Amino acid sequence: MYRCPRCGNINQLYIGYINNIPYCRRCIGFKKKVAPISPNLKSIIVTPKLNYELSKEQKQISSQLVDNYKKGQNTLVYAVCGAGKTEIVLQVITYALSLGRRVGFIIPRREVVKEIAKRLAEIFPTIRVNAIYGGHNQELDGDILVLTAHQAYLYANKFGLVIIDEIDAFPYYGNQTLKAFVERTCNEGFIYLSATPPKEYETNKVVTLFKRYHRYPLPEPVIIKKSELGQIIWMVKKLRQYYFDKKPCFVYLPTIKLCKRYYFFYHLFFPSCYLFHSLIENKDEIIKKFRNGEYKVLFTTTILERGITFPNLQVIVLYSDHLLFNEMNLIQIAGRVGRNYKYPSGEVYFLGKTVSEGMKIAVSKIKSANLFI
Amino acid sequence: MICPLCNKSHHDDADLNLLFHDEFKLCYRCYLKFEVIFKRFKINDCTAIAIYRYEGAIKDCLFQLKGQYDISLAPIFLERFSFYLSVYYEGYTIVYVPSYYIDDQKRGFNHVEVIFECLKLSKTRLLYKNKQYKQSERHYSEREEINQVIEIIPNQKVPRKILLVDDVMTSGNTLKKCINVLKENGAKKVKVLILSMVCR
Repeated sequence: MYRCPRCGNINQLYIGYINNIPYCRRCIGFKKKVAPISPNLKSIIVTPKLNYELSKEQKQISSQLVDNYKKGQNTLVYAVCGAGKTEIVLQVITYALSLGRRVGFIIPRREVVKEIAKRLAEIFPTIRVNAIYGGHNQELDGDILVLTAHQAYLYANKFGLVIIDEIDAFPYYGNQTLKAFVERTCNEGFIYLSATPPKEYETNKVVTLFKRYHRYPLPEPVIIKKSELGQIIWMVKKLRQYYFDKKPCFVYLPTIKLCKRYYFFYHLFFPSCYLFHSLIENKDEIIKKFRNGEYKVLFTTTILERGITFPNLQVIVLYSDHLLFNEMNLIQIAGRVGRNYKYPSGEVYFLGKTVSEGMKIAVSKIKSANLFI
Repeated sequence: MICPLCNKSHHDDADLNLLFHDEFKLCYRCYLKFEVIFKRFKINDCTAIAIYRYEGAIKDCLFQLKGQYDISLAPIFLERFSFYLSVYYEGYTIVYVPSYYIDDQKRGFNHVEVIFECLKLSKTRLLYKNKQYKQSERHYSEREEINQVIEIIPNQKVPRKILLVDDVMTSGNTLKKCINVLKENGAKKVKVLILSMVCR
């Protein structure tokens, strides 16, 4: 029985033989390369620079995380979308840095990696914050490293504290290879952050935060059951209303094909809309134009379901009874709304020909989270 | 049977080729990702056939075999055509376009040899490269320098009918040189079979 020393694979289907010497085929896409850095740093003492105060709950959870980290326990932070998960971990990061340990911040999504790295660099201006993702991995050193899960293979035992955001997001969740590589980066001291944690993570110490930082409730989704033609008429009316109210809007669709079709149809009515999916090349440019207000409506797949914050955003989910939308996706999508101080509320609509189990569970979970306020 | 590309079992394939073959390693869905062209053309008055277009899935697969040393992928390229090709080229002897021996040692195998292993023809190693030289790293105008690199192994009998095989063809300069070397040393008839070629 051969066990892969890198990814721990024991499934014999993934094992090939060169001249009777076994090799692992599951992690063959990852180069046998290790970042040329030492696991220890000099002790750095910094204070996070924030323009706002943390709320009472955030402070309490921050110190709780530090306590758990001192004991060497892994912690799961179960917090609703927009609760300020990034701010919660700042205290642990400063503590780990003061001990002279390198901090890894692992996020499955590449767009989110760029955003978080920018934010952390603003919060800690005096130390080196480096973002590492596919196509941007020449400079591998830094005090805080923000990386995608696919780059974790470079850092075996290099981190003293690892924070994994969005543990249920697509490329990471359910991928045994990536999980093995991420678990190899650090001996102890993992912090998992999620708004919709999968069950197997609940064996860790769980910390919950069901309040958004501005103390307004989560916007509750409205389920609308309509025929296809009814949906189209409803959508045109709704988008028209948003257009006059100057509210930006995301329309989520399950597949790229549907995304293109709906974009083609609606851009006859609304010239200022655009589509966004994984095959589009100039993603940064589109997001920039959407921020500037050049585009009012974005037809998107689940690529934009998490990690994205726009002020005053409204959300419509079409085909929300589709198989690809489970309750985790829907909760994340609903969490895009009302994340700003100025615009703490917004509208979320789930449209579908039928009402699926996932839709019901998502709405009931959001409602129960709102009861804590 | 498990497909080595998508790692799923493919017992539900409805494939007409299965009437003539026992089973395939590659599942039908993955096979459809390869672009089969069977392009015929001439190099130095020798007929040549290219099977695939060097793009997309075939490029990735060849990289996984050559660059990441995944030998399990070797049989998937020709398994569907091995019977017909063996009949079509009967009487010919396969000669591989050479690669530098240190590269082969690093890999543990020669990728051209393992790809064309399934053809039921006699095979010899006649040519070799005397130094590290990669065509793909050169500019098109520099690629004729290959002339000094490829040589024939001395004191070996050169067969009369030769089938020259390679995995990728871009400019064709390597093949031209190989054909010239073989003809100078007494080959009467040379045909060329290429796994994939770059089409522009």
